[in-house]
Amino acid sequence: MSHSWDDRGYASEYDCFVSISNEEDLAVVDKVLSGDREAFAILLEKYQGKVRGYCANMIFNSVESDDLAQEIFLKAYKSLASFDGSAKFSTWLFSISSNHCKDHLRKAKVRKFMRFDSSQELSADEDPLADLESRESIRRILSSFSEQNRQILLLREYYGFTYEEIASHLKISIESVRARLKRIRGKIDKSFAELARESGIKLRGIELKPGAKQ
Amino acid sequence: MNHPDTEKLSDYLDSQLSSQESDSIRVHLDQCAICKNKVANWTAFREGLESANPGVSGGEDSFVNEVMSRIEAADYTPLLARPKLVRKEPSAGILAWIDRSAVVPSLGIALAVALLSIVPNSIPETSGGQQDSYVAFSLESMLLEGFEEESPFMVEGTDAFSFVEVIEES
Repeated sequence: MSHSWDDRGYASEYDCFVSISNEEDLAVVDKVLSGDREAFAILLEKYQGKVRGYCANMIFNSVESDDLAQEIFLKAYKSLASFDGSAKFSTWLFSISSNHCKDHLRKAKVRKFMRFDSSQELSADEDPLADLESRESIRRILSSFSEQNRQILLLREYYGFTYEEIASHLKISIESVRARLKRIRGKIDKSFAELARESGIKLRGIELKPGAKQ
Repeated sequence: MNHPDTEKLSDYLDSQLSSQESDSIRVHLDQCAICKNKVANWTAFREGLESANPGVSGGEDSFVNEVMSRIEAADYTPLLARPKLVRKEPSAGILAWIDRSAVVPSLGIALAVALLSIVPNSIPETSGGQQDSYVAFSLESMLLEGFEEESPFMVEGTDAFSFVEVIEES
């Protein structure tokens, strides 16, 4: 399935991202497998932003999420020989990241202790308040979903997986993917409405930690 | 005005509709601020995901360098030296009839079953929990060999539990 987001006004970076040929990736994989370890840095450079962003959206702790991203690339490197080319390299890598974050959440049971890390540094040219508000809003909405719904949401909206790819990855039916995305989006509607009503970064009555708006 | 429900709009967003249905939604969106706003919110959310702060451990370069030095520190060469499966040629010769991808997992399962039936009997009952973890560990290390090459999605688990799931599903 093609990602025809453009005609709906989605000028997303993702479109550029998928247009980069998978063949390039396969060539690099071949290089690494034939002993050129350094060539792996090409894949790292290309995908680090996407994978780190996924982890940051999945795990709300920036130190932990970057550690996870590192582990994901190490795992990919170690398993590279098992990549059989039946899926795109990016899909394979993103699947590893999705599984790894899921494992992490299961093992650490961070759900119960989930806090929002507001200690991140913002670059000087950003409007700190506006930026933090929207980021916090997005995190709050994300955190209101179950882990699996968050996973489905991110696979679709962030990694651009097709319904078929999500279904195959999570071993659920395509119909179920479709139904869940519908529910997820319904919930996003409600969250946005609440955000608008409360006209701030308060959501569901939860106050941000003191200092978050600095 | 008849508004399309969330399901229709969601399908529209993901290009799951026929071109006819899709066109009618587009026409509706042009006229209806409520639905247009709904879709705009989803889009804003999608874009917001892109702005996730990728951690505090520094920029792109330091991340790449850290991973590369971890790769160099650990010697993974033996793992990479396994026969690669990318664009494999059809096999020929005496063993051509053996489909490796089918044989290896079957062997893994057979061995696992054999181990499960032998090991619990050969260890005295008094060893309790120790015994269980021994079985689980053996399962994992054996199945890793058999399953890792099977599918891009099988590399996930590093614990025995995941691989037990794999057996049941295959």
